[in-house]
Amino acid sequence: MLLRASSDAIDAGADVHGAVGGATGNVRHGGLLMAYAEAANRDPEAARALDDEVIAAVGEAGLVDAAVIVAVFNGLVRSADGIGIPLDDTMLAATADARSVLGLDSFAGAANNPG
Amino acid sequence: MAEFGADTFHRPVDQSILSAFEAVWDGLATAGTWWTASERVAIVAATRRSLRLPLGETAPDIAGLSDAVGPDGLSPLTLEVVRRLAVDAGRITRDWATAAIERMGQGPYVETVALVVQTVPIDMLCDLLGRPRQDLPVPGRGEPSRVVPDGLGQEGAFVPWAVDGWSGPNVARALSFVPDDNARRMGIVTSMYSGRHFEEMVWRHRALSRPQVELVAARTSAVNECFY
Repeated sequence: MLLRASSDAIDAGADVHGAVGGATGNVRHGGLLMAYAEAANRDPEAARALDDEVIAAVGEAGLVDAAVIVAVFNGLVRSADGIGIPLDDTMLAATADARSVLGLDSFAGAANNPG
Repeated sequence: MAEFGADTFHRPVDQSILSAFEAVWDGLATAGTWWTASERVAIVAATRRSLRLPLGETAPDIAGLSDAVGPDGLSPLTLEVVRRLAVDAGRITRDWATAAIERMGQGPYVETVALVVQTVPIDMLCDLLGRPRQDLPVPGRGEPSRVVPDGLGQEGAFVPWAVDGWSGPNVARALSFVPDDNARRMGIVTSMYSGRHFEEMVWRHRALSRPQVELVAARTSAVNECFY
């Protein structure tokens, strides 16, 4: 998860709690994008009710971007869980605090990692 | 044949993404490393039909499922593996995966994962953008090659993956047991996510900023209860 690193790079002040449905910090239109991501994951066709609002905020290309990211990560999460991919060593160390704060260590895939 | 032409979407989708989709669809219609083309297409059809179990219903024990193939060429065992991958992947444990791999074999298991993870993003993008899902291709003839690539090793995942000379994130070698499918999958990932810009923390090549992209990605991973 590169939310914090990419936010720090432009001094955007993202809040990683956005990953679990909490505050998104200063990510522009973060609340709307999080709502879209959640709806898109739970019911893709129903999520289209948010299209106009998302387009008004980030443009049509931004809506397509958001849809593309939801879609590709639905493949990536299944790759990770289906193959039991352990976190890369650098990521394991760099995300220890965030995983603890966000409760990610309780996910089933956490058992695929040492420590 | 251009099945994913830009004019089949009513919103603008990058050509590199459409080309990656075409490559996946072409790959579905040909014999894989462990499954025939007919079996590959049947696995994708089963992926589309997969449903979550009703609340309170227990998933069947892998050990008790028949491996006798049905009319579509897939067994109840394979269909349950497809179902778990398609709609309940967040609950996959090492014990479950070990049992499934012992019964199916490493190659068929990895290729099944590969087919699900290549086609779920395509169907999902179509759903999100209001485009009908693409018809499944007519399977071609031919036998699977059943070739295990050189240079694989066991490094903590459920199955062996590329180790000789490997440098890169684990996710990129996840399906290296089936190299052709892994290449097509990475075509999807690269075109839809980072392009050539993964190492850059500031993105200007797409409409959303990188923090916006990563927020959507992180929420998606968490909703799916994915640790990685």
